[in-house]
Amino acid sequence: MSAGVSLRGLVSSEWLRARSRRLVKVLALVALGGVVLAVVIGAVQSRRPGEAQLARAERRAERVVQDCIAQDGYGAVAPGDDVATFCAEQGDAAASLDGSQMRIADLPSILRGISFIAILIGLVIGASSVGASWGSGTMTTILAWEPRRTRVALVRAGVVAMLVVALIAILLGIFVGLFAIGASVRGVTATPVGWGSEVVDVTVRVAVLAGAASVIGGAIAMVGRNTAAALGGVFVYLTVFEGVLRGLRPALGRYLLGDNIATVLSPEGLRIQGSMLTPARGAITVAVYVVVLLTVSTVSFRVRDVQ
Amino acid sequence: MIEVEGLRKEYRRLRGGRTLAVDDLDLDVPEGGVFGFLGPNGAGKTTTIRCLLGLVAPSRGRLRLLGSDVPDRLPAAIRRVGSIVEAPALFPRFSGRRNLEILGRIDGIGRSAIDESLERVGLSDRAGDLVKTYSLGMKQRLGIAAALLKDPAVLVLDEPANGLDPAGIVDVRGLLRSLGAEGRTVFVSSHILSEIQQTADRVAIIARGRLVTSGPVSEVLAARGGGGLVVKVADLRAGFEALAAAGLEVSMAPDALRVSLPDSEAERVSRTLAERGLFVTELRPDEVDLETVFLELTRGDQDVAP
Repeated sequence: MSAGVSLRGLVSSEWLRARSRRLVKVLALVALGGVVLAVVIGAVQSRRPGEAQLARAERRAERVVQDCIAQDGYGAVAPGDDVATFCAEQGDAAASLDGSQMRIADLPSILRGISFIAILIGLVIGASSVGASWGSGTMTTILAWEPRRTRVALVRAGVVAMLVVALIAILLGIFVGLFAIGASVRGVTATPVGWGSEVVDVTVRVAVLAGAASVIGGAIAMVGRNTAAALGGVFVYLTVFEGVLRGLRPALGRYLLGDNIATVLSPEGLRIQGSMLTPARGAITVAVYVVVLLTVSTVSFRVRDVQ
Repeated sequence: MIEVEGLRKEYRRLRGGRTLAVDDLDLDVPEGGVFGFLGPNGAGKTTTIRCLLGLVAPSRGRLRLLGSDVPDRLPAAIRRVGSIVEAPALFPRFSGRRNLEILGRIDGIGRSAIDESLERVGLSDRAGDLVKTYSLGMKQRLGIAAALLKDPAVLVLDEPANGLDPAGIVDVRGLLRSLGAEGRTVFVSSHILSEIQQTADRVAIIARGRLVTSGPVSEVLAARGGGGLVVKVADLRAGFEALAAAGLEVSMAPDALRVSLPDSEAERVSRTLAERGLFVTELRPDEVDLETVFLELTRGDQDVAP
């Protein structure tokens, strides 16, 4: 049997295992329930604005644009950009409503807001996919079929990450669809220029970050050979270690995982201690964390005995 | 088929020092038949099997499986090796069939082979149930089914009869025999010595990580065997006197007489006693069983730390 066929077999086996796991199904169902519930609550509480309300909002937006132009874009216009264009983007009528409406224009911000949940789902699925194998002893069984440990570790990480990315993308897609329906029935559907691509962009970023979280969770579970160790380790690292480090040396924030995840999700990056972190730079830093952790866990898996 | 040369495995203790699990072990398992691998708890059987399957790195020594060096060339050999290490480790929240599907996909094994394996171990009816609802014996059967899935040339089975009821043990015994008879090499560790004696063609006994003896079962028994004949008559004292008077070397045990004669001369014993009006109620070779040999060879090693 050629190596290619064998690799495909391992990928197929891992995919079947990953998608058959009860935890994945339960988390997907709970998340789906949460999505539906959130949209229903939002729609119930939303009131479609009347003509007078819309007219007031448009007047308010117009004033914002004029003020902006009068004050030369509040000094926030990037060099080379046009002040009029910049100010036109500030005058969003939908954003000038009183806030009780379900506004489809808010979707990118809402997606960023719920990204924490998506990343957590990825972390839990990743950590448990590896931890459960150690707990049940099935790692031994798998190695009795495929003894190339590097291959086993990397294929599992890759398959679980793909599953998480797909799952989160589908869940966010459902959320966007339901939200759009809710907004069209009981809210506001006006969208600013570039809204569609921003929604897709944020959805992709959140899904990919959740996939990265699954690799991080799986890598730590591979070293600790335990799901709880992985989840506990990530929690302690992010809240205690990075928190203390950020407090003591704020400038180090640009190298910390939490700050870089936030940077990836932000539209234009974050300013940390005077230096600007772009989303691309944040993505590279997160990728470095993922690669380093995956390498360490794979090497640990290769050299340690399996009891 | 399986070659082990000078295998040594040490484990580091958390508080310093080392535990020697296997010490300079040599094994040569020929092709075909059932090979019993015996030893007290902690003797190093499972460690040896783990080394053989590449799960544990030996501290020293050389292992070969199907002619391939372990662990460097193990991937080439593993596709023809089915195994169970200790209790079969399966996905508890998946059905038995799903467990086999997951493993089978690694080697591109299809549904018909899975059905065949389940049928062979008598699990077809429960294949759709979650493994967590299986009894220990059923899990053991599923482990054997998984090991058979590859249609292996070599089976490495660590205590395959663990947890089985008497009927299950008989089934496994039959299965091992038939697998050996098919020309497969079945390497089986067990503490159920009567099972090994009835199943294995050859055995190796280890204690404290070292090989104590190995060879065909008959030779191992013969080397330690008592020889002679066991004779029972209604009046042991009269029988003893009759045989001694006939010039036979005889000793009296609490419930029988032991005569130092080969099996082929059993007739001489019965005739001698009959001539004196004594009729035998039992006359058989004084055989030593594997358990006796095992206990004799591993005396004092029963509580070796793992």
